[in-house]
Amino acid sequence: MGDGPPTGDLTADLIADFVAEARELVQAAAEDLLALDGAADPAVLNRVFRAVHTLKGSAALFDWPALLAVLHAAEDGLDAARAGRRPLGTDLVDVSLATLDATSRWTEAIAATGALPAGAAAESARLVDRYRGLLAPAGGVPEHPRPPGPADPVPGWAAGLLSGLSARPDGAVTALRYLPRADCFFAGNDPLGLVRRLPGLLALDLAPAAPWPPPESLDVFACNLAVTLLTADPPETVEAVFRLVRDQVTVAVLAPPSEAGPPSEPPPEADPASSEAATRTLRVDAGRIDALVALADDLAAARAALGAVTAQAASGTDLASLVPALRASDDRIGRLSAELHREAVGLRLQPLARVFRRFPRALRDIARGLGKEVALTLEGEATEVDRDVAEGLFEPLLHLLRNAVDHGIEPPETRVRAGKPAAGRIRLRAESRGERIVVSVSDDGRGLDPDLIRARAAARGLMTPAALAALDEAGVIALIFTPGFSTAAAIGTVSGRGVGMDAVRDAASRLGGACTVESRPQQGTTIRLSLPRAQALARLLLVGLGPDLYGLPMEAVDELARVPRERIHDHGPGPVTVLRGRTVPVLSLADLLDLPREAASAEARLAVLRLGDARAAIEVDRFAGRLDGLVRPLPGLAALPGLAGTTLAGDGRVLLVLDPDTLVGGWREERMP
Amino acid sequence: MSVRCDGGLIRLEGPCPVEEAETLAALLLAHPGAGVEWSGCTGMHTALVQVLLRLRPPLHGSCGDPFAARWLAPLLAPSDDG
Repeated sequence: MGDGPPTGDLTADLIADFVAEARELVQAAAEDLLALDGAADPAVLNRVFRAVHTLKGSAALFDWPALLAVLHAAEDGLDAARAGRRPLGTDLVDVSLATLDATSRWTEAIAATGALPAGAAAESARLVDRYRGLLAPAGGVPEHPRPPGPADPVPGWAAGLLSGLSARPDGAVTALRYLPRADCFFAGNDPLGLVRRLPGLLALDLAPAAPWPPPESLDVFACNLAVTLLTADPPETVEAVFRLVRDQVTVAVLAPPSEAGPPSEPPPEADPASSEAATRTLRVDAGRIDALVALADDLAAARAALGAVTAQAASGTDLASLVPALRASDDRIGRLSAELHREAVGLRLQPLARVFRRFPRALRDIARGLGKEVALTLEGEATEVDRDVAEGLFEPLLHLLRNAVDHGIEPPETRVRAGKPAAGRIRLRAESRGERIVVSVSDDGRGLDPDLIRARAAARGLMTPAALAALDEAGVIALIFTPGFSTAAAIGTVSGRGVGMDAVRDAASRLGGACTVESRPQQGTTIRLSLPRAQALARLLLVGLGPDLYGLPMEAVDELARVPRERIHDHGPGPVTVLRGRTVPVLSLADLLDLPREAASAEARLAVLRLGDARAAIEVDRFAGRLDGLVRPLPGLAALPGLAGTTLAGDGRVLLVLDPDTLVGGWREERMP
Repeated sequence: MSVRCDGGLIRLEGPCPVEEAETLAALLLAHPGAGVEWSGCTGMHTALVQVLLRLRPPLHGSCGDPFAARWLAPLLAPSDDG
């Protein structure tokens, strides 16, 4: 009912970040694409793909379907080329350049108006069609590593729908059976919302998965549906739409009537992982495979136990008496699937040696170009890290090494005069620290000069002179991470390429890490990147505020409470309530996020957070279930306290994940000045 | 206001999110035989579809959400074998 903008500055900040990032990515990707036009370099192609992928991820935070659709199509097209499923021809380069051009124009429109320009939807559809045409040449059958003409026998569950089809399309039909989990609504899933995303839907059936309970005991939030459908969409599209509920769906490809003979080959599990197997191999320690197999065996045994309970239920045993067995089964399968996830994530780990090995040669060339002598030592190459983190580290590390040679290491004669060996020493080192790894680049050069940094920051107008003067030495040194600090200030031909330390910090934060610097005059500089070793699933509590859902890390949630409004008192410093004999401050999530507050209900829903020794209760509009998700850090949003990143809900929606420490930390400083 | 009771009819209006399933089921159980008017509904969470599938109230009008009108309406038509 308020007339202010419903979204507030949060969205404006997000949009500003998106625009800044999109400009950079589009430009980099366009340059790379032009280079690709000459010769196909897999590393460059990969970079273009990643740029588009990152753009898509950022665009998904907003409601810009036209932009998202075209980036998605571009990602698919580039991925096909990357995986060798189709050649990277001029046609793919052309349409990708057109896509980047459109993205760039739309980004400027977004910067100016906050929305996509008129005509974006039509242009997007045209581009998507061009990609589709490229990926589905000739007979309209999509190119895919599924062997040509693959067809599954018609499964029993699809037969009814198939015979009911009045007109069967010429091409293959994909059939899908989807049994959403009973608690899927709590996880934020909307099963039919997924079905809705299939443009080629031909037939749909809904049936109770188990016999309906009597109407009076209907649990509206327990999903008891079996969804069966036929679609003209290719299996890849269907699998992409249902990728987050892959464990709950069965997909079959039904051949066109004329070809319905015996399948030429047993149908492969149409998993993107298997389609990449042809082009990408992963060396895996045999022990890890054994552990996985053992887990799979345990899981099969647990399934069998559940099957026995299901049989009892089917034979009419009182359902209530089966609850303990079901609960035990749920616990066991839950534990095993968590372990399985951990092991599977372990398969993605690779030693950093593969990245590190690329540096000695590069560094020698850089040093020679600058007339300097440098000796590089590598340490901790055996440290294992997630493959994506390893890949993402190459660029920022190369940049740090360049910087070290260019700015850190002095010319040989200066070094000798200072009593140092003529050849500068640079050390690249990795070490494990629990669930994180720390990668550092150290040099024994001249160190960072705070006075010089101050002068440059002043010259570039990054801060007011008064603010600059107030900074201590560490604060001054941290200025090298400020966007705009090193762009032109890095005068050297080697590192002055328009990317600075801010790019390094952004790269680290994209990988879920942080970047720190330590420097001593005349002794050298060390830059440390602290990064997650592997992707970890976070357990999130979903809380609702107005129409939106947010994730709160479960580890920070002490308890959930419903407290009558009259038990919340305001004694000066802010509202408090008493829970279990302790006074707890009550904060409204809407206030913390600068969003309008809904009318207060008679009962406040409080999520009590543990913050070190202190506790604070956050009031939300509703509790909306649980979600296990991969939290991706928001690029370039370090300045937005309160947010840890984003995660995907079961229905593909992007949720913001809150960071309790910074969310409440800001408030603490305000209340206790 | 996505689910409300209006005389003998229960009206679904605008987007109907998952939370409304409870309201819809409660209204349908409290008014057996009441019809559901859904021409103003622009989108429906699966949980509401499940309630309609289970309780099979007579549906009035054609759903304002083209997906539901095209694909769900035939499945939700009242049946005798329920």
